[in-house]
Amino acid sequence: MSKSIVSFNDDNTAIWLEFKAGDWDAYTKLYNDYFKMLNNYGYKFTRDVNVIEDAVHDLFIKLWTNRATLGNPVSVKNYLYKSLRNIIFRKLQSQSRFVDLEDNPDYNFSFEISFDHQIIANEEARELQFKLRTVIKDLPARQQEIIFLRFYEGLGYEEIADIMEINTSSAYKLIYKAFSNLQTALKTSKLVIFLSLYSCLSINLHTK
Amino acid sequence: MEIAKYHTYTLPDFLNDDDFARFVIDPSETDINFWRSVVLAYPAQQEAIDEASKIILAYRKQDAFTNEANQQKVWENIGATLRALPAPKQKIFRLNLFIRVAAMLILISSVGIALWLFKHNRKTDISTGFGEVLTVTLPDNSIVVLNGNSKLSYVNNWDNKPREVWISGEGFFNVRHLNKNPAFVKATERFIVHCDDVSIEVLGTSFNVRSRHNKTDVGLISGKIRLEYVDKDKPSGTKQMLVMKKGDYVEYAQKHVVEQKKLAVPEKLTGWTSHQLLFSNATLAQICEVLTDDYGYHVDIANPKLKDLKIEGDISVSNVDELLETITTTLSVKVTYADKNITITEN
Repeated sequence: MSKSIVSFNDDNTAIWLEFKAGDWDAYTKLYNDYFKMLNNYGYKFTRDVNVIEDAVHDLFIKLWTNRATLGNPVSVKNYLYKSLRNIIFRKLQSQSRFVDLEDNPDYNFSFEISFDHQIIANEEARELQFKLRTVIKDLPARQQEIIFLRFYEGLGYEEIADIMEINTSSAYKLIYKAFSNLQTALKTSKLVIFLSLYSCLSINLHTK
Repeated sequence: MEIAKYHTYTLPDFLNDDDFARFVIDPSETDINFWRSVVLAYPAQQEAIDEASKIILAYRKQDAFTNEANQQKVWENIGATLRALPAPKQKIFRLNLFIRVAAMLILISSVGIALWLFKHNRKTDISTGFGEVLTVTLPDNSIVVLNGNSKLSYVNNWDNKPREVWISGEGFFNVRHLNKNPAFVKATERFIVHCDDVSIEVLGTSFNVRSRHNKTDVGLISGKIRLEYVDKDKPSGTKQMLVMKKGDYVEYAQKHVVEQKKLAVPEKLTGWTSHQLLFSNATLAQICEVLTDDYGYHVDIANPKLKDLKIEGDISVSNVDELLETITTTLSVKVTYADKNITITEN
């Protein structure tokens, strides 16, 4: 896979503790470790780079000024994602001139990923990506976000529920719903037939 | 991880499985071996597994927005913002845990101290009825003569702290002198009388205080005292000071010093202590005030003009009857009284 900026060995607990004790170097490291990931995540909610940069700025100001009262999150990354998400939502909400008061503000956001623009040599992989793109872009924003956190960021239900501030069972339901939708869409696009033909070629499981 | 449950899994089930997702995204050696054995056990599931992993991998091929070009710029902005924040605030945050622990300790100990104080520092409250004059001996053997309709209170235990009493009404103080070295007055040698808005600080002396109707009169018979008071014309929260010497008389009302004068015979101030009614060049209004406040009479003056009538010279009588007789004869007014009601009319 290409261009992955997500690190799966997110063990910055020691750095976090040093940062909380007022260590500037640890704070700098947190910034440099998460800046790219946070920008990438923020970019899914808005294409306004200024909003993302302001949100990252505000997040790190808040971290430093409140460091002594912060807790010890299980995952530093998830904590930062959750905080950034809230800040961006608040910024986008205050930015929009017409706020529909009837709507739950949580449902008002958009979530958009952009698939790799590299030319995919493999025709069948290109086909799959095209179908995925068509299916995903029509899903509700929340389901798109869950899929992103799950398959791009590699998070489990509990973590997703925590970041999106929904309970685990509703995270599970949304995920399942999203995948059922995906399956139906893929089926109707006859991709399944294509895939079953392809599976005859017997793929090695451990090649990625 | 159990192999058996994957027997019946469909495509959404696999996509929904945390272990499967981790295997596709970031497989460990264990994961690879495990999923190989799943396929071996349930070859029919290979199709769904392949499809699910292809979907996940295809999804992961997306553009990342890293904004790397601005990483340094945003960092510099953060630094600038933090430098602009008030520094002491950050220090407070740093000390937060310490402060919290300290506050807790202070709270616990102050509760203890409060309980101890409550046990050891009971207050004494003394009040006199109309026309009653009472002599009180304070814990340091200083003497207070309390006039009628007055209140005095103080804490019982005066060990190792300034002597403090609170008075409303009139009292004559004869304070014991504790200070041995006048150049250096220890806090514990101080004697403070608190009235409404005035505090009187004494070393050892005798003086008269009359504090009624937000008006405080202080007359010094001997020694030296210092008044601390609030002045309405001065910034609020600040205390004004005034040193009084023997024979000085200060009238304070409505938050400022109304009058300051020298008494020819300061001893006269204490006439009331021997149940004597003493007045010097007093107006009818002043006399009536004493009758009302100290003796509890209700005085009715028909014509307000009468209030300004003045009795020149000194009056020294031993009871109210005599006083009223003096008023009748010298001011040529008509005084009638029944019970506690006095009516003064023009003759």
